[in-house]
Formats: sequence, C-alpha cells, structure tokens
Amino acid sequence: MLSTVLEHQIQLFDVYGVGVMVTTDDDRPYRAIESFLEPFVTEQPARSELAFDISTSPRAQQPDPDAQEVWDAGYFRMSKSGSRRYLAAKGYGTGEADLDTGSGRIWVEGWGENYQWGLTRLLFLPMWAMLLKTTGRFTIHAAGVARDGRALLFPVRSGGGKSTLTLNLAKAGYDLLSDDTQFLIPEEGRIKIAPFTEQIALRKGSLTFFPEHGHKPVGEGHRVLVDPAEEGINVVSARVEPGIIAFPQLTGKPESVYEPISSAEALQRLILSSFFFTDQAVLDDHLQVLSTLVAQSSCYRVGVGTRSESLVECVQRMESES
Amino acid sequence: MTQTNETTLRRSAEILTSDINGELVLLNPETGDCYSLTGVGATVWQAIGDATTLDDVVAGVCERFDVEPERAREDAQRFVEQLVGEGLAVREPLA
Repeated sequence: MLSTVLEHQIQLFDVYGVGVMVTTDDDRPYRAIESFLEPFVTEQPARSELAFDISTSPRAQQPDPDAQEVWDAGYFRMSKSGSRRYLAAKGYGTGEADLDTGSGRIWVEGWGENYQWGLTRLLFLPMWAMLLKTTGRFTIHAAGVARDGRALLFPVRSGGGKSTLTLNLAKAGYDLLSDDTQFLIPEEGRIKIAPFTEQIALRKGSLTFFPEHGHKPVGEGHRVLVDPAEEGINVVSARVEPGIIAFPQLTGKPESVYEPISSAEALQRLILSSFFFTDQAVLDDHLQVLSTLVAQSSCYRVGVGTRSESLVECVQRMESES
Repeated sequence: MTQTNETTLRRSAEILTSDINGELVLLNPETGDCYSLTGVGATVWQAIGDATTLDDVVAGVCERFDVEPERAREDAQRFVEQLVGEGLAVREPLA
C-alpha cells in the first residue's frame, strides 16, 4: 500500500539512547513534534522502542468507559485501565498509550492558536514520559537551570511558577536545562541531569517577562511557546551533576524565602509528583533513581516572592549553603 | 490479633523501600502513601523478614540500641501494630 505509506510522515528521534518513532498524517502535528523534539532528531536510531501515531482523523474507538480516573484538572484528564492509559485535553484532543507495547496514539481535535502547545505538552509529553519510564529513562516535572556544572531543580505542578523561576534565573545568568522536564540519567551509580531545552511555555502571568514581543494574552490553562535562543537565554549542552532541589510555592509577597528540608521529605514530594502512571514493573527502579537524585542534592522549600532580585538572592544563598 | 510469638510478621509484598542518607522511605504504590522511618522504627522495619517473630524484632532493637528488653518489647509491639494497621506489614500464624 504505497499510497498509504506516503500519506504518513515518519520522524525518528534518539532520546538519550531510546529510539522513538512518530508517525503523523498531517503537516501541522509533524512540525509541532519536530520542533518539540528537535534536540533528539536522528536519521536512524539504534532501535525503535517507542512508537507514536498522531492522527487528525476522528477517533473511531472510544476509551474504556470503566477506566479509573487518575487526574482531573478540568481542561486535562487522565485515566487508566490495565496497561492502557488515557488522556483528554479539552479543545486539543485525546490520547491513549499502552505500556505493554510501548505505543501511543493521539487524536488531534483542535487547531486553535495554541494547538502546538496543547498537542506537545498536554497530549504527547505525558504519554512520552510514561512510556520512556518503561525503557528505564526517567524524567521529573520540574524547571531546571544550571551554573558551574551543577543543576538547580524546581519540581512543581503546572501553573505553579516554573516559568517564572526559569526566566528570572536565566535573566540573572543561569543556563537553562529545561523549563518543564528534566531527564535523570544513571551514570556509574550516580544520577546526572541531561538537558532538554524545548521551547518555554508561558502562561498569562509570565508573558510580562517579554513585553517587547507584544504576545497576545492567553486564557487560563493555555500557553504561548517561546524559543529560549531567540530570547537570548543560554542553554546547557552537556549533562550536569544535581546540586539543589527546591520545591517552590508562590506566596504573592515581595520577598522570597527558603528553608532546608530532609532528604526523606524531598523524596516523598518527588514521588507524589512523578509516580503518576509509572508502570508496576519499573516502580522500584523509578524509586531508586529518585532516591539517588535526592541523596546527591541539597533540598529546600522555597516561598517564591514577586520581586525578581529577591528570588535570585534567595537561590544564590541556597547555592552558597549547599 | 496482636503480635505475639505465636504469630509471624512479613513485609507487605507491594511496599517499596528506599534508604536515603540513613532514613528509610516506604512507599505504598497502591495508595500513593509515603512513610519516613528513622531510629527504632527503621530498625524494626529492617528486622522484619519473611517470617519474623516479635522476639526477632526485639532482638534487633536491643542489638542496635541501649534499651531494656521489656521496654524494647513494648515499643516494638506498638510500632508493629501501626505497621500492620497501615498495611505495610502482614501478620500470619506461626507455621
């Protein structure tokens, strides 16, 4: 069926040793994924372990109605049934992954102004991250910057101020690891943080960092994508050692404050934020990777204030203490 | 049923454990609950094997800490009840 093959475009990526194949049936998702996974583009991975199919055709088969709900944020829902995982992003589409086969499918439904963000961050990224776990590649949902070869990680859920942290610190001279997703790579019994400098997804409040661009306002739950290089932000190009893990909380007050927390508390917080959808078979591996990361890091809780200078000073004090 | 030497104790199969800088973190993946154990609590957990009696647990505590056996037994008994109540450990009749 040569005609069928030609209608589908295949992209290959090497994600820190894991081969990923993405098939699309339309130029728009093709370009969105190509941009999102640009650092991993390859001509030929060693082997393809994960496969995704992104379709613009209507979904023929509906998700299992008895699937157990795992997360419901209104605009974004997750559920599971056996080895299958289901996602639904309101206005953008739905997705389904099978942990046993290492495959995922996405049905794109919306082509609004922010479809690229919705497709890559709400639909593709969660399934990609959960399937990567089955290959032994673990990530955490966190903002990350680095300085002098040491990473500063800020794990927080969506809308919790990751981009605010990233941008403040990048403007203060820190290098960007990733605005959203940190790769934890085991190396000789230790963990290193590998960069994933995808575009930064800015919510309504963060757009004020780039007033010169005149970005159009976006609604709640939506984002505008910004290219770090175009904004003059330095990006990390090599793996770095963990240094600090700080759990941020927006306070609304001007000044930023911090206090140390125990390794065990840090590990528990990471578990709660990253064990979603982890396959039973790799739970222990996942726990050991997170434990190693925490053991290598100094851990803090940070109250993130509104004054940029105070936040940067706060982070610098943490660095000097650790 | 309370823990006696007529019963044995084992860790629940699904519980994951990590030792981080001397502090034990236990995770129940079914519920998402996490527990942090230090000191006597960590020692009790480490003493629990496949078919552990209360005497085994008390011996582990006395070996590690300077404590009277009766006091160790009371503390261990109380903590074991908590472990069983939280589903972290399972009590079984002595074979």
